Amino acid sequence: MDKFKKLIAEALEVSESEISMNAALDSHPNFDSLAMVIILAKIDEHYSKQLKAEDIRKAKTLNDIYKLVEKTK
Amino acid sequence: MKVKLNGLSISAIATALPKNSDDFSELIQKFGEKEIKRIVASTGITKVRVADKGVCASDLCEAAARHIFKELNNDPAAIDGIIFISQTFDHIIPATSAILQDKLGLPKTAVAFDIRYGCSAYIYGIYQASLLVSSGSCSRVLLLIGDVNTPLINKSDKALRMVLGDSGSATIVEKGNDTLAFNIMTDGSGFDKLIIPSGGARYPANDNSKKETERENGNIRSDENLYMDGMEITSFCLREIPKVIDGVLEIAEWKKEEVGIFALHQTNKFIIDFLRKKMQVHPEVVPFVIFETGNTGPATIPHLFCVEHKRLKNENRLSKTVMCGYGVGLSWGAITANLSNTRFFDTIEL
Repeated sequence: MDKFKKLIAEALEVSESEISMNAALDSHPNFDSLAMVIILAKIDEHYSKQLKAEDIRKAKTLNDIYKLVEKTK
Repeated sequence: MKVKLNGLSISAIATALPKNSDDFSELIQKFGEKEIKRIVASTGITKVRVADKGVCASDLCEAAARHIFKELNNDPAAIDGIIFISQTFDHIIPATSAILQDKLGLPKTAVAFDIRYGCSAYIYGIYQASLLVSSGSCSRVLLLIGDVNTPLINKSDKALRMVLGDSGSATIVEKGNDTLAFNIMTDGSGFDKLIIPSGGARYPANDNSKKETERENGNIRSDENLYMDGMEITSFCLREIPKVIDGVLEIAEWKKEEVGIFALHQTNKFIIDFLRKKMQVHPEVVPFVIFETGNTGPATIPHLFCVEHKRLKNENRLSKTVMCGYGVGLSWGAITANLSNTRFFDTIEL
């Protein structure tokens, strides 16, 4: 989870304390389609997992994305 | 599709760019400096080249071809094939390649045809020109590849406006002693991820297609504007490009460490950096050169060579070159080639 939070903080260019796993995605600073693309790439880089764009798009919170990472083989 | 073709030479490459640029000042006013700077930090693109009204992709390609003819004292009469690859043709009918055959003074015995592709166009072009030469159909093929995409982008679509630029290129493929390896892939299930929906036979332009409406993420556009699903396209690049490159290296029987340059289609800095890290190669082997020109679609690979050729030559990087293009279709592919004897020309502007 810490690794995931660090990755999200990097993608959004914010500190880890500004990240809430259960808050709505767009309540985070800098959260937009560009941020989503960067998160997608960082997950690939750090977890060697390729999330599908259509799945990640359904996510409402960071927790949803984290679950996707765990679920993806 | 995987194949090796023999008896070839990519003998000359030139590119032509429009002089004018969009430096995003209008977008800064509209969206704020902070937002625009954040996008630039990710794309690496500070301005894009924009063709003057009325200048077509074929005009830029024609200028690049004339530059090669002049510099090499080449006789257009010796060219027996011409291929034009673009998505922005002069007319719906006829083929732009036929018009260019006449304009450039190529003989009437030349075979001429258009191919419709975007960012994978350079791979398709080299492949098709190589087939014409290796089959014995032609001895010297003029390959013209370019697009003027900026008029197709909605003014308020900052994602595309801050990335795509216009340009044209000319390449000569002829009989020679080199072997090229090709690895080309297609996935039409992604056809709607990078698309202009209206204007063709499936959805002819009408009053409805011209209506600008608010779409995803607040983007405004009409069905006659270019649309890109950024997340799907990025996901596709990250997933497929390393694999298609590994595949072509296997056909060519080259080791990754031997490659002097990976000339990847110049999408944006973020994707190129990511692919480089994934491929575990040094930055000098995977250049990014479009800081002040933008992603010029089908002509970024020749553009890269025209910007970097002196360094690449000095560092002896060209004998083992990998080119990789990817985009609309979805379509992607990679080629291995020896470009150490190729003549490159600094980019011309018009």
